Amino acid sequence: MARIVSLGIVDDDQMLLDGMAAWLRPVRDLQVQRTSKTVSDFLAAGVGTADVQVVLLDLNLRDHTVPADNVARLRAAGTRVLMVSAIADPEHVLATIEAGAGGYITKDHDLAALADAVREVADGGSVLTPELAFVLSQDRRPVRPRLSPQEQAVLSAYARGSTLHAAARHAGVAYGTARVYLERVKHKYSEAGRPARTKLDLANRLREDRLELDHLGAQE
Amino acid sequence: MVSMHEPVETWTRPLGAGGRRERVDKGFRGPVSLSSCFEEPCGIAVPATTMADVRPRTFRLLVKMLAGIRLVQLLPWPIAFALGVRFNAPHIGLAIAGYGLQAGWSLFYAARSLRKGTLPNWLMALDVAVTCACLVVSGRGWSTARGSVLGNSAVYPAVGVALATGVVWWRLRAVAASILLAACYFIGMLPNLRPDSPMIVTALGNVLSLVGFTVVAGLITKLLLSQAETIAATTAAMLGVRERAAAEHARHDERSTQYRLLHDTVLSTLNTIARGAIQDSARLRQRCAAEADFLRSMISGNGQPTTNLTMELAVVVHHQAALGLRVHSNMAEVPETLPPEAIAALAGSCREALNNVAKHAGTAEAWLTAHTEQNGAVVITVVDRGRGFYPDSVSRGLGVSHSIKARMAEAGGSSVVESEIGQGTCVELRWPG
Repeated sequence: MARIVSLGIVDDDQMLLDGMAAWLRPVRDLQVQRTSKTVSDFLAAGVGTADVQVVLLDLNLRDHTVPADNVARLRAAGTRVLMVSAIADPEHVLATIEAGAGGYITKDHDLAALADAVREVADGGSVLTPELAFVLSQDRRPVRPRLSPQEQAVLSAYARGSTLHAAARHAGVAYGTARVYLERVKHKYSEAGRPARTKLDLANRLREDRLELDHLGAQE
Repeated sequence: MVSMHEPVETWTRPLGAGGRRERVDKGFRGPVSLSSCFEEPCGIAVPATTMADVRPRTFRLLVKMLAGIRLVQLLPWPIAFALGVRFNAPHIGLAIAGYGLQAGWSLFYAARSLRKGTLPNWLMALDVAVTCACLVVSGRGWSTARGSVLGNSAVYPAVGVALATGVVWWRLRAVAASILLAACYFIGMLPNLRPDSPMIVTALGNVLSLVGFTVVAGLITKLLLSQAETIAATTAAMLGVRERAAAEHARHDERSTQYRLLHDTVLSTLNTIARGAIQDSARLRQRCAAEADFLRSMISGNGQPTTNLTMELAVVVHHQAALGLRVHSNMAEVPETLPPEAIAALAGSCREALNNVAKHAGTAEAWLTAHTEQNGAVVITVVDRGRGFYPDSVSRGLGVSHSIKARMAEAGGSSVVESEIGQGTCVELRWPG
């Protein structure tokens, strides 16, 4: 595919920003467009879908912003988000997924795995890495999305690091069925955050409308 | 196919920049052995006395002492006889019958007490009854009034009986028994008692002694038992503290050595890079990845403090990483305290499973997860996406399942090995099973 994915990276570690950009250089279809230390810096430059398709967002930024808010702001700006962190922080991972992040990946993966995840997110899909599956399977919050026992079984088996094929076998379902179950799990989690996102969209739209009106008013 | 069953073996590997070598047991004992202090006494003599048996033990001792006193109390008459003391018994038949009955019974009583160390109620009752009878019979048989040096032969044994009632029957029954004994003594003495006789003083003294001994024996026994219990409790608590402290110390020592070593390797890697003299190389990168895997595996996701189990698993991961196997760890909450044998079994089985991935799976990547089920069971999985095998086949699968299964079962856990050709292997460890 000749398509090129434009990429943004938000991480509080300058060394990591530089390293990541250098690391991704050999990957022809991924182009690092902009790197920033905070989401505010990133958005201040004005981004849109045309500029940056996917942002690699560090889970815990040093400016103590709430990870889920960061995701929401980037999503509202029209980019897709892939969460990255050194270690999983289940509470915030869950919140960012529900806030619309396309996936979560730990920093210990190799380049190929990261590139695949970015492409998947860029296509509008969501990436279920074993570490994300593990966080979802260990979700003990009272408000967690309800999974059927079979969905839970496939998710747990996949969370162990098994191939999808092995996970399907473990849960006693066909490969295709297991795939559908995992899709459903991802869907349920992204749906869980939708009411809040809709509200946020609405607020944004209202604000934009107002700005537009103000703008019109100023012109007159 | 290759056999997955690995014998217990020891190997050395380089560790750290200074070329330090560390001996690592691949066998049943992990490098951080928590169990050593539990298998061996660690220099602490644990006494046989425990809280549970201090009371019966003290009591048995008292019963044997009472038996000894009783035997001694029978002696004055035979000794006096042997020394040729003149007996002047008004009713020699009664005197002999009284002493004979008392001596015979007391010998049986003492022998039984020394052998069994117990004083059941029936024996006590019989003892009181026989002694009462002897007090009356002997009292009538002997008489000091007629110039005999020796009086009622049942008086001294009666004191022994009074002591025993105080020890065993304290309070009400003991006092009642001693009053009964005193009454029988009084009845026996009755023919000799005249208002102006000095015998009254002796008799009064004996009566008060009988009751007094009972009371004193009862109070002392009570005090003795409660103090013995207190001392046993204090000793047990003290020993427990010492034992725990010693175990903790040993564990801490061993572990801190291990982790200092591991942290040292991370630090020395960082220092090497910081100095800048080293060229970027595949080896350096592999080493950095290994150190990162080690640190990551020590951290459980929920911000939970690092537990003994996660520490042990981190050590296992570090060894594998140093050998070139990347282990992706995903740790959820696990219990903070687990029995050392459970930790040893889980970590040891985990090590074995990872060894097998490195040797047979044909992949350099493995996944390690740990979590706690709703029912409290700890579950650890070791997964690879490598070659896999037929779990039902007789060779490789059975080897590893058997040795891991045996190790887990021994610690009260269980294990399941799942595999399929081309789809990798999953070893699931569970404790309790």
